[in-house]
Formats: sequence, structure tokens, C-alpha cells
Amino acid sequence: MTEADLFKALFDVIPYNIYLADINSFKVMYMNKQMIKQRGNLVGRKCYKSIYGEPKPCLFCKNPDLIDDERKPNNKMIVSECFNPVDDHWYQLHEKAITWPNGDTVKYAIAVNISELKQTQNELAEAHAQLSLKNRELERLSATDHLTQAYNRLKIDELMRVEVGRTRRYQRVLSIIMLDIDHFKEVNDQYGHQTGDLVLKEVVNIIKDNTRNTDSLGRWGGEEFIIVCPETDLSSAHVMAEKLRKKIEEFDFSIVKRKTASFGVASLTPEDDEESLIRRADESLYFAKNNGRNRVGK
Amino acid sequence: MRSLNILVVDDSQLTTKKIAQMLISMGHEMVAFARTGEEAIKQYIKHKPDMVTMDITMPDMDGIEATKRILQENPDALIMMVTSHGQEGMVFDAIEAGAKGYLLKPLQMEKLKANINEIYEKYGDKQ
Repeated sequence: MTEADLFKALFDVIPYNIYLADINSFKVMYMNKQMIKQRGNLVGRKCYKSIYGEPKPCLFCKNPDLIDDERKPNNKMIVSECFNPVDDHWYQLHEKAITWPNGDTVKYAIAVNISELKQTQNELAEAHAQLSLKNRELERLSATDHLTQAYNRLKIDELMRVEVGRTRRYQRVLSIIMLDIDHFKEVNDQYGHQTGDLVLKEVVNIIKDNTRNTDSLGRWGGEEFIIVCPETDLSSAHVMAEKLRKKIEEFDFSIVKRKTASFGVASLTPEDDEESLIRRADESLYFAKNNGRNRVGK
Repeated sequence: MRSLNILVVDDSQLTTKKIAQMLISMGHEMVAFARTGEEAIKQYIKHKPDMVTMDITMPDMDGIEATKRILQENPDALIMMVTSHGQEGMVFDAIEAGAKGYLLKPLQMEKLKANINEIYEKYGDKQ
């Protein structure tokens, strides 16, 4: 009995699917009995194609993480979960590179079927999604954004329509300020969503504390806000935006400590409708973002 | 419900094929498919489908980003996620980005059907 046969005999008694694949050529070198019974004999074929149904090496392929710079085994065992669309099962994969008795570097993968466990998890995730969707729906029906207590999109849209009409009728001035928290995604990624939510709430409080009662604050999207400022010309809106920018920059945020925001400003012209007004504020914000953030756009 | 034109976005050919078959058996049509986020945006603009099924893990941009980008230009787009990612954060991000549904793989035909019907009843053909 060769060493290779010993390996194979060992793998055959393990009650999970096991296959070996060449690290370089992706060819399946061996499958244990259990896996052959389930999937048929795929030895000699490319693992990504025959096992996972992919035309190219899988995006989630762990091979590069199992070998060192000389493409020899680095002795790491990597455990991951993957969904296999060929047999519609979820697997926990235990993968490691080894040197096969003929000197080649091969990977062995032990695949534990975790479909039942996953089903429970997935049902939970779908329930989470249903809840989030319901929340959004309720939000649509109410005037305020549940999280920040700023006006929601629907309400601020309506407010803007009213203000644009009023400004025009009485030939007054109206400006809007748009702001977007800089590098917000990093907060969520680094500290989690609860911290992200906290930053949003704190920013809303700063704005509320530093604007007039006649100004209306709305949450425009994820981390983007809009302030509708009646009786405010462009230069006053700039002053106001600059003041808010500074307040945010100087604020001691609870967990992330420092955070900045970029601002865009626009004033209503006789040719404007709500849409073009917002578009110009958005362009101004875009300018601020593209010129280093933490500033007010032109 | 009328027959819908649906754009299927998934980097796995096999999954795309499976979804297409399910859609056909429900009386809908896969009007186009895309394997990357960029392609998804292009195909959306080209076909203006009634609905989109969107994977999350793709080679270039992820499906949540693609969802945001499509919705930016087309606020009425109806997009549902069909993914293998069940982490709570991911679910939250997708819904926040504007996804109207979230289904996990393995995709079950009854669930897909129920989701399409629900989304269509709530948001479809309003214009």
C-alpha cells in the first residue's frame, strides 16, 4: 500500500464529503466514497466546473490562502461556509494544502453539509428583512425618520414644494443645504451599525442646535441630509453651512470621536423647480466631496 | 398579474439558469441577465425591466452598491436581493439601499413567487 492509498483509505471512512484537488491545475485528484456516491465520479475534471458549476475558478476559492510564496502548503486550515448551487446545499468547508506523496501540492477539502442549520439562519435573516421592510413602510407613512427624528424624505419633499411655492408667490429668497457625512461607511464597517446610527443621531442634534426654528431638516438618504432654509440668500446659506461644518468637525462624537461632513448649497432662481434646486445643491456637495471633503461646495 | 420582464443579476451561470426556469414556470420572462454590478446597471438602462433579482457577491461592485446606483437614476426600480448572505448587517444595508425584498439561497420557488407578487402588488404599475 502506498502513502497515497493510506490517505485514501483514511478519507474513505470519514463520513463527510472529501475531495482532493491540485492547487495549480484545479483538477480533482480524488473523491472519497461518500462524495462519489452523492455526486458521481468527477476525478480528472476541474473542481470549479464539476463540483461548483462555475465556468471559472470560484470567487471564494481559498487556494491562494493555503500556500506560501513558493506555492507549498502553509499548513493553515481554513474553515468557511459556502452555498453550492449544483446540489443546492450549504457546506462548511475545511480546507488545507498538503504535499501529496508524488510531490505535488494538493488541497483537501472536507465538506460538512450544514443545510439544515443554514435553513434556520436563513429564515431568521428573511424575517429580519421583512421587519426592516415593514419599518420603512411605516416610515413612509409618518413624517419623521424613525432613527434620527429628522423629517423623512416624503415630508421634506412636501415641505420643499410648499416653500418653493411660497417663496415664488411672495418673491422672497430660499436656500437649501445638503450635507453628507464623510466616510460614513467606514463607521458601520469598523464599529457596527449601532455606532453608525449614533453618529447619525448626533449629527442631527448638532444641526438642530445650530439652525433656526424656521429651518427644516430632513434625512435625504442613508447619511445624507437636507436643510430647507426660508428667507435665506445664497451667501447666508454659505455662512450657515460653514458654521455647521465647523460644529461637526469640532464635536466630540461618542465612540468615533471625530467625524466630518461635506456640504452643498443652492438658492432658488426664477427658473428653478424643486428638482433643479436640489440638483444644484447636489452638484455643490459633489464639488465639496471631490475637493477633499469636510468643506462647503461652491 | 401580467407577465413581468425580469433582469437576473448573479455571477453564477447555474443560479441564473435556475432563476430563469422558475420565472418561466411562473409565466414571467428573464428579459436579460448580468454577471457583474456594472453590467447590471447597463442592462437595467437598456431593458427597463419590471423587476430585478440581485445577487450580493459579484466580482466588481457588490449588489448593494449596484442597487443604490440603479435606484439613484431610477427611483421606481423594483429590486429584490437573492443571495447567500444572511448576516443581519447585510440585510439591513440592502433594505436601506432600497431593496424591496430579500431571499436566501437555496432559492425556493414558492418564496420567489410570493415575493414577486407582493412587490408587484405594492409597488408595480403605479405610473
